[in-house]
Amino acid sequence: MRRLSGFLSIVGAVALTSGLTAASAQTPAGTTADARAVAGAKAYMQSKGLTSLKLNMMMPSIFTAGSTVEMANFEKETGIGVNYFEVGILQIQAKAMSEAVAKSGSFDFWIGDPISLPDLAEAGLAKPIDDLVARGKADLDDIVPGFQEQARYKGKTYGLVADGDNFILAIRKDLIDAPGERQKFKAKYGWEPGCPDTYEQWYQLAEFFTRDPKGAGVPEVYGAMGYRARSWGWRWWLQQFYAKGGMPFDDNLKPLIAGKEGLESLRDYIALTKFMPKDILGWATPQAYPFYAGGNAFSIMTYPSIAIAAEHPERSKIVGKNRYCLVPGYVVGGKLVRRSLQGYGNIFYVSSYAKHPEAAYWLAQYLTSKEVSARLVSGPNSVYDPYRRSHLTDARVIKARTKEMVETHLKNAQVMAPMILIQGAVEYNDVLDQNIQEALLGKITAEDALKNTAAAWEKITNQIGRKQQIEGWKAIKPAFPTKNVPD
Amino acid sequence: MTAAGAPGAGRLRRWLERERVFKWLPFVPVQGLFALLLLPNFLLLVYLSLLSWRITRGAWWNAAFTGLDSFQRALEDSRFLWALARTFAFAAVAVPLELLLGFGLAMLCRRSFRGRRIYTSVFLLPMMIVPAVVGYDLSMLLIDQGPFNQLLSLFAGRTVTVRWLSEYTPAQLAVIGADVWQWTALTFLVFTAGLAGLPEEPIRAARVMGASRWQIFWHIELPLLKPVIAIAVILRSMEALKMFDYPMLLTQAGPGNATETVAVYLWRVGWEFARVSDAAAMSLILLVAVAMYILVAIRVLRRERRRLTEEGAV
Repeated sequence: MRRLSGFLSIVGAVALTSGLTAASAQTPAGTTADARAVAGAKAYMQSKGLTSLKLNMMMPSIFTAGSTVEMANFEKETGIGVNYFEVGILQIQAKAMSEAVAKSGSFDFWIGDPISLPDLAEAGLAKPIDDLVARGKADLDDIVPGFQEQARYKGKTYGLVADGDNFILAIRKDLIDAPGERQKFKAKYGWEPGCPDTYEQWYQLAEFFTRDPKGAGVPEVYGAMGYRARSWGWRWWLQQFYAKGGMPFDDNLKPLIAGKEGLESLRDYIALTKFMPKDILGWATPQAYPFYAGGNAFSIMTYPSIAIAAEHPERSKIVGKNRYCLVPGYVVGGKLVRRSLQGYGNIFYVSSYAKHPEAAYWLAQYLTSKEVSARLVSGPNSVYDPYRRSHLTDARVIKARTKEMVETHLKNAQVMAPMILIQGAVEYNDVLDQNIQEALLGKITAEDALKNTAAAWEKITNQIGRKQQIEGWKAIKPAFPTKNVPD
Repeated sequence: MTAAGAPGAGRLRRWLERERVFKWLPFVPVQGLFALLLLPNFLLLVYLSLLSWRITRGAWWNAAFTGLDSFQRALEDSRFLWALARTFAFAAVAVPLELLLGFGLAMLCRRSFRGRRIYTSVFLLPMMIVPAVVGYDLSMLLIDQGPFNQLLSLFAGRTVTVRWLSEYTPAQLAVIGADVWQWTALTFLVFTAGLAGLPEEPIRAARVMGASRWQIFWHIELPLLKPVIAIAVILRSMEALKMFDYPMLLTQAGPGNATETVAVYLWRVGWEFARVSDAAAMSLILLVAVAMYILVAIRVLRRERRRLTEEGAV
């Protein structure tokens, strides 16, 4: 009898455990992704017998101000809060890589860019989350095609995209509309000034609207702005190179950048720099945004969050004076080709060594859901940029960014190309960046810069293993756009 | 137990009290700590340098043994060699400047005067600031139209626009300047201590014999300070050769590679490019280069000590 009761209790325990497991593997209740994330988080807390929990998160410092309110909301609802430690935006990769070695579980999740994904997936730090995405029914269908693909590597999903960071061109319509300017411009260049279709037209606009009445070499208005600083500038060239019809590699991963497309686009990139502030080689977002919002430049090619700075009622001198343009392109084979680049693009990744990976995932799903992402994107301190179709019609997003900007930005996304997202991406891009800067400084020619880069890329490929790299390159190719111009 | 242990304990005590054993005892904790904390890491570093391991290729203990391949790659890597040369060049400019300025300030604060303590504290202050903060603050001060150029313009009486962060040579000067600004405080401290410890007798004797202030300084004080100078050189050189914060925070080691020091490059190779074995080989090469430099400095220091001892000055 005692044996029988022992057997029955084991059977009962097994049944109960399987029941619980089955229950926890079910999709949490809720009609929206944020509601499901909250329900999933609550169920997780219950299954662990917890009432409060602090997740550890690594976050670029530039994102903190725009994120904390929504994280606090999630904590109120679920008891899951966040201890975040801030890191410089360019140091995320190194910090994550050291965790891949240490396997300490010092953070549960982090915000990082797509460039670091191949290395961090191969290093085992980024955790595949396909099962959790399926369980939580994250509303990925609403995401504009091209963004979520950058959180995938070799067929697996590793993150939830939180930021549509493809470049946009902002120009000053007030300067174009100033009395007599249109006529003068048209007389000189033969076309009506406005959003440029090509890089040549952007050059002409920059040339015309550079205002240096004293001739002192320090203009009152600079014709153009783009990023040229170390670790940033290469992204702006890559976009231009793609528009020229270039591809970094062939199918055998032989570099193609030193060809005609690379050389011409690099020469154009260098030429445009003369209309930019002279110390642009040391500038990134913290310097560029206030400078443009201060009314010191005619145009800027940058991240879409420029609209937050340029339309800020207190901090900007040019509110309502901007036009947001499709990225310019090149005429290739008689057809206009526009390309925008996902120039950073934040993604929530969950660590394989997280103490609470599931809880971290639910928070990520909450923050990237339709509703909460709209709040994040439209926040006054936000540097998260629109990436969902629903952002296009969301009144809060439109109010913060302007309708024209959101529409143009998401149109640009139709011709958005990824960065070089294969293993060793950081090194490939760093070598490119270094050589482009040397060419910008006049230390080497544009031709040598590209030849040096191609030679260094070959070494990197051979060191990592060509076969593996070809496989990675094939996997990212579907993320390239098929359209030449947006609809 | 006690009865059996007592003679043993006595023997141990007698052994420890022997002259040739006792003199080494103070080193035991240090050497123990070294063996415990540094030696395993160092041996691991050497081992990793002989493998072909990237962080993206699984565990290091499964990595292939490739002998000296990483060293060969390092010695063929022009970017590494340039970073090494650049770092030594930065140190060669920064350290003498720090020594001169630190020495000058220490001489100024040597005599008693009103407010001396305040000046001493102010001169020491930069050393207390975290280097990252210095780098960040300078990145703001040195922008094109920033306060530093405005100050220069004020002195020059015309608009001065030095591109401290975006042109080759000015960026290098900015990095060196940051190091000098922060670490002159250390040489000031070392020299202040050195000057305070100078023996009075030879100076007094020279004064009695009618030596001028300059002769006393040149023929007595400066030679006596040589060991202190050598220590300051060693300390500052070791630190300057590890320069990381200023180039990273001021220019991201740019423009181009203008301010990429060997520490920055090693960090990139190891943690950004995931090539740990290559980074290990490079750091061992750096270790050898720095060790050779320090050995020369220590030799100079010993020679000076010996000479001063022979002359009866110390």
